[in-house]
Amino acid sequence: MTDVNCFTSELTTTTTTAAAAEIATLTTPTKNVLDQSPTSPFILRAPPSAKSKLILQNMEEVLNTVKQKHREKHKRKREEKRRAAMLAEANTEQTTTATTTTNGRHVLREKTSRENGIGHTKRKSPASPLKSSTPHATEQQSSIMKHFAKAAAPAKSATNVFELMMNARNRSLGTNANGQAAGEPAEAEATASPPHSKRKQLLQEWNERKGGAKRRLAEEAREEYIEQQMEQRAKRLKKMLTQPAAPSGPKEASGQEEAQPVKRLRGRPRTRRPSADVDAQLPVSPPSVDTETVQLLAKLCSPVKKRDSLLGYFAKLESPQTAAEATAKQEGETLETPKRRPRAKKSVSNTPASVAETTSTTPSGRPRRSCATKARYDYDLEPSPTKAKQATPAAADESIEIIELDTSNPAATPKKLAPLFVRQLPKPSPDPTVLRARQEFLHSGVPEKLRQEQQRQRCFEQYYEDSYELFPRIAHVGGTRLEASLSAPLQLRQEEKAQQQQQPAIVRKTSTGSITSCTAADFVPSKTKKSVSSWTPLPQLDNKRTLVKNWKSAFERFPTFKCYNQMREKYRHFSAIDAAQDTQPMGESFVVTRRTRRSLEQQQEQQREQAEEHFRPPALAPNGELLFTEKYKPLLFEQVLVNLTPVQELRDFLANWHGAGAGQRNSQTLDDNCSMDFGNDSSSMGASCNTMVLLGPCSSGKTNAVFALANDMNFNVLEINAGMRRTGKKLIQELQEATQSHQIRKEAKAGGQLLQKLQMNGLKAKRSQGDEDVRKSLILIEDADIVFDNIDAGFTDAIYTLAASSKRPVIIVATDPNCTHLQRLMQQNTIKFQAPNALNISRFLAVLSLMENCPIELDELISLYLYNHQNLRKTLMELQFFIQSGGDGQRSRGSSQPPSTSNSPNRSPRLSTLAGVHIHQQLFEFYTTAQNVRHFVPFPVDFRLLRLNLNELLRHSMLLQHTQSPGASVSRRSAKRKSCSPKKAWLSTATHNKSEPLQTLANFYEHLSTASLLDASGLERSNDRLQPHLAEQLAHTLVECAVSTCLASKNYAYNLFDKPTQRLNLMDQLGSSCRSSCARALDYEPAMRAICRSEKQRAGLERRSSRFYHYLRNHAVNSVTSFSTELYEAACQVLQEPEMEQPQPQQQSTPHDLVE
Amino acid sequence: MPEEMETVVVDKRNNLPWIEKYRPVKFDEIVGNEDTVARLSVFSTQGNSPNIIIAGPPGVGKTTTIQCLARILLGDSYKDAVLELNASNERGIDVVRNKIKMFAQQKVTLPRGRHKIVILDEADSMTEGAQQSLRRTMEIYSNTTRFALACNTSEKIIEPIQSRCAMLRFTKLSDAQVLAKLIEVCQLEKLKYDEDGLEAIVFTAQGDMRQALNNLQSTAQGFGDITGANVFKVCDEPHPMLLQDMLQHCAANDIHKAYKILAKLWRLGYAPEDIIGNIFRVCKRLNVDEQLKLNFIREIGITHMKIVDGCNSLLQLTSLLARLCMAAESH
Repeated sequence: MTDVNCFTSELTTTTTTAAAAEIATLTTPTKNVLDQSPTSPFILRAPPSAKSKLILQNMEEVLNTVKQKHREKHKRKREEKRRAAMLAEANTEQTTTATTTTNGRHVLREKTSRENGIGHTKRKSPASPLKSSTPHATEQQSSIMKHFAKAAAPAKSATNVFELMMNARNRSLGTNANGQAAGEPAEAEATASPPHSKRKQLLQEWNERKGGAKRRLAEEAREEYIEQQMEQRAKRLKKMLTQPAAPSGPKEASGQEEAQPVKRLRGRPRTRRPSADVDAQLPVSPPSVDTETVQLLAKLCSPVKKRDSLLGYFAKLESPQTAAEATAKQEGETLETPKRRPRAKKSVSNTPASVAETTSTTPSGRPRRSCATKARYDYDLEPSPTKAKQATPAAADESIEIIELDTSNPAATPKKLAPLFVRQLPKPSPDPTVLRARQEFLHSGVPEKLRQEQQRQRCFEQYYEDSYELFPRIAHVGGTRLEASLSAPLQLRQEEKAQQQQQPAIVRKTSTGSITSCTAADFVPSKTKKSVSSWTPLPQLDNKRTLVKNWKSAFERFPTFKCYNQMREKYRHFSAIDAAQDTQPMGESFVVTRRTRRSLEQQQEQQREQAEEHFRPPALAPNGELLFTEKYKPLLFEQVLVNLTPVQELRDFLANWHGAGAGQRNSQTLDDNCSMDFGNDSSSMGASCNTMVLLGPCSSGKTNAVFALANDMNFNVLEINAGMRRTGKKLIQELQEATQSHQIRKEAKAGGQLLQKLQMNGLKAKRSQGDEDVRKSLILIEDADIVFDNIDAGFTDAIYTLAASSKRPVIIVATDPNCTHLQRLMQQNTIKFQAPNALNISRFLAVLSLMENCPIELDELISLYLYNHQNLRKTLMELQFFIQSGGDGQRSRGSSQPPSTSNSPNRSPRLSTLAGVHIHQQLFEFYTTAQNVRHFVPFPVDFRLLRLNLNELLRHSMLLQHTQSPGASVSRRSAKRKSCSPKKAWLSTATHNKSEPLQTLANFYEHLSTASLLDASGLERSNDRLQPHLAEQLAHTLVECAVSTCLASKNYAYNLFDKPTQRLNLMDQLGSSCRSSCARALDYEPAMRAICRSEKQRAGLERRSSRFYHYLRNHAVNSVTSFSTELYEAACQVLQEPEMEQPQPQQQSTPHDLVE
Repeated sequence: MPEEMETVVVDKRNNLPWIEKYRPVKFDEIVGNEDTVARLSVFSTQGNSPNIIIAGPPGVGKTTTIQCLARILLGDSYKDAVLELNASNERGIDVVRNKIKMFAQQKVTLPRGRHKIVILDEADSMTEGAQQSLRRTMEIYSNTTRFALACNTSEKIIEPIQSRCAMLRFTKLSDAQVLAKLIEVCQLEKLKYDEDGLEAIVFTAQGDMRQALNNLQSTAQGFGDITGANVFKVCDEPHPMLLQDMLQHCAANDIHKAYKILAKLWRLGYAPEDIIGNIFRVCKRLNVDEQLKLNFIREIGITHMKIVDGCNSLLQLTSLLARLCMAAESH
């Protein structure tokens, strides 16, 4: 049943249109396929006989149907008009339809569909509509039957059900081809029948050899079932067959049959045509018409059920067959799964009846044909070796060839089966002679040129096969072209190399340092190392005091002597420690308390003169062991020299807590800043006034102020910093005791907290030994603006809890004034620290360096301090590094005056020196200049610095100088530097001059702007490590070259420190987190400007509705801009400046603006 | 002096890469940045060096300098008194709060003026949190522990840390310095070299001693002789000589010849970034009029910008040639 289903479904799936399309494809390809087949020698070959036969069959059937339909048409006409002349006309019409294939197909399609409809509608009627209504069609069918009748008798004995089924299937598949092979089945039938039994035996053997025994068991079971079913159906059919069909006499069959092939031959000019012609002759001869088969066919044409019709037919055919069918069926079915081809062939050759049937069932069968069947036919089109052998002699006429093939079919079958079975297995390569013969045959029809081509290709293949046995053949891609394409770049590269080797050789002779900065002298291997300069400690200065006296007059408003005395004190103290080799308990001899200080100083001052040499640092640790930041930091309030105001505020705040109890605080000491209102209830006011937030930039002395005051006022500092684990829980836990009691004993300090003991190492003795025994505690929370959310959970909450509940002062130190989580605390009490003034610091540092026996030029100190962005601690560190490693050291002795100080007129007058005292001058140079490759402009070009230097650069320019009026203009410009853009000033003077300098200046600015553009583009991609380097290099080289060539100002000292007031620029205020400078300039800045301006105005006008102003101030902190009040105001100031004063100084001269 | 030591050392570390084999162990072997190195050598003998940050491009001897300092300063107690953490170690907040702090609190007996040293190599790869938690630690334990940081870009070090250190900037080595070291190594390794090859190595290294030594070793082991051709076989770069010719053609306003060279380089498959970089480097040393060279560099810079922006086609480079020729013509 399954098989049957399969067949029937196949039959039903296709549509008429598909059938028509396939007709188009199938009519032509026979020749083509023959041509193509030799190119692919590795595909399994199948004998073309079956294929050709099937195709012929198809063609024939199609033609038949065409004819039928035409005849039908004509018959109707005839029946109506009863004219005999119509017959001849019909014949001519047939020819025309055959010639115009498209026409014919059109008609055909219509007809087939119509006939299908007829077949379906009249399914139940015993008399087939075709037969009853169209005698011509039946005539034709019967004529074909006649052809087969002769062969049918012997064949019937051998055929079995399966073969019949296959035949039916073949027929259904083949019906779509044009019915060309009208007579071919006849010839096939003539040749095919005798070797049947032999072939079956062979097949059996093959089957068994291939392990078919197992399969057979399963199949037998299936067969039985199928047999049963078939018998049932056969019975049914037989019943139906008892009703007599009306066979129409074969009147014009022979005549038509003969005429058709000839016509077709004319219609389709193909090489195969002769064969059809020859074939056509044969069927004429068989005289008798098998009425029984005709009846049968008539029955089949009107099937009771579509599906059952075929089976019924099979069953009927089966009935006369003998027991031999069972075995044959088995064989057939064993073959079924892998291939259909042999079956197809067999069926074509063996069962003429089935072929006859094809013709009869065409109307219903033809349109149901699937594409898959076509593909299978393509397989069959490949030539088999046997066929090739026989075909070669017959190559001249292909029609003959086909005939011969058909006759040879039975003999060839076993051989043809072989590749079938072998296909799943690794197939042994076919016999070379056979292959060659086959190919020869296949090439026979091919044009000469093509054949030669293929010959060559085969030669190639052969060659590769011979030479590269191991590898799968790659040559089919076309070896020559591959070779050519490969050789080209190879050649190129070689040529390249040759050139490369040539060219350096040529150039090398002329110059060694053409691509690098190496000179020829560098290539001489020099063994002489640079002489290792032995370090000598800086000589102790004896006349420090006299120096300081000299400086005192120069340093206005600076407590020179106070500073000096303090430092001397410390210096002596520490050098004494160093000298004493820590045998002496330090705390006793140097008690720096307020009480003892005066007397101590006086004592020491007396001793100082004599004991100068005594305190020389020992050789073991000449540098001491403390950092300058530790060494010279203030320990008492009086020692605070800079940033005095905030420290004073802090002291006032702490003074409240210093007294005995909270209630005893007197409010007079309070500043206005600490606007706390005190009630009688200590708990109510505790929340508001026990915290203080210290805000300020790095190294502005916040923490130091706290420690100094704590030392001074005898507080015990409990410090919490970012280096500790500070979760909220831990914080509360550790500080609970401290916050709840006013004082804690020294011994009972909370675990893990860090007292300042370490720093107080040197000066251990506190005032505690004097008056008080108890030390009040003070909570210091460092870096409160830094919170690591995942690690320090609850830190912020703990701070607030502490602030709310603490009975001791809580000092919170933060850097970021916009820190969100501290906003509430900041609104209460805040002390702001600022970076100390550069001038004061420079004096302080000068005294300090003098104390360290290394007096340094004031300018250097100022420069370095500003260069470090007013970071005192860093400056101190670097100063220590410089001083303790020998100051100017060796280089000062070798080289003369550094060039930096000579040219700048803006520098303050130098420090007055005494004879024999060397004032060190290379501090700044050491920290700012590159040591390996000297650049005029420091390497990563800072364009803001460049902008500041432009004035000086232009003034020192040689090229521009000579055109200007000397003297006066220079001085004028230097005086008006702020208000007057150099370019403008220059332009004003240069307008009446020659245009050449103008050109120079334009060029210079052009280069600068390009450089800044490059630099900006590099900065945007600063994530990438490599590319920005190149951009920076490019920008730097461009600037440096521009300065040197355009301006020719070589001897000008490039100013490296920046003046903070001039640095203010809206663009800098906006922060650098914007994506690109372009976007910032175009989108961001105008918007910010507008906001700033409007909000500023609004805030100035009315207090009430300035919510956005405050919002900006408070909450815009964490957004892209670090927007704070100062920044806001600064930005507004910048914006309002141009309105006030007409010439805007900065923005015109900047290369940035030139770019943007 | 160095030879003596080398002969001893060579036996032990024959199999080492040359950058390790010839890594300086004394201050006077360190090439470049002489002033700073000399000052550090003072500290190595005198003690009490402040916290330092050494910033500079790769391959200029930052780590080597710090290790020299620590080794000489601490001598035998190096193992106890030095904590070295580089980017391969974990340096999160926890490590800073625990490990570094524990180390700083440890008591190690050292001579006066000597301190424990925490070396944080590649400090710019530390997270900001870790740096923040380091800042107060650096101060509090400054009596016993000093920090030495090495980084590529000082911008990535947060300001509080920078403010606690002396910033020492190392710059790229000059070509002559690299060359001198190369010659020294060549003689020690008994290599056959010529000026051409050494100059080629110097060109490819671009002031990076590590790369120079690596290239030297690669060439020596791959080809034996240090010749220019061999070097460029190892370090596949657009050949500077070709580029020099190209620029000279441009300066002579002969775009056809220049383009031929460029097309050849392009066909060899070099990336436009490489080509433009080498064009710039060659152009810096080009023997043409200064003004013209300036214009050249400007055009190269503009083209580089475009290439970095993604317009890295042959067309851009060709337009560069055209503009260079125009510049030469108008000059």
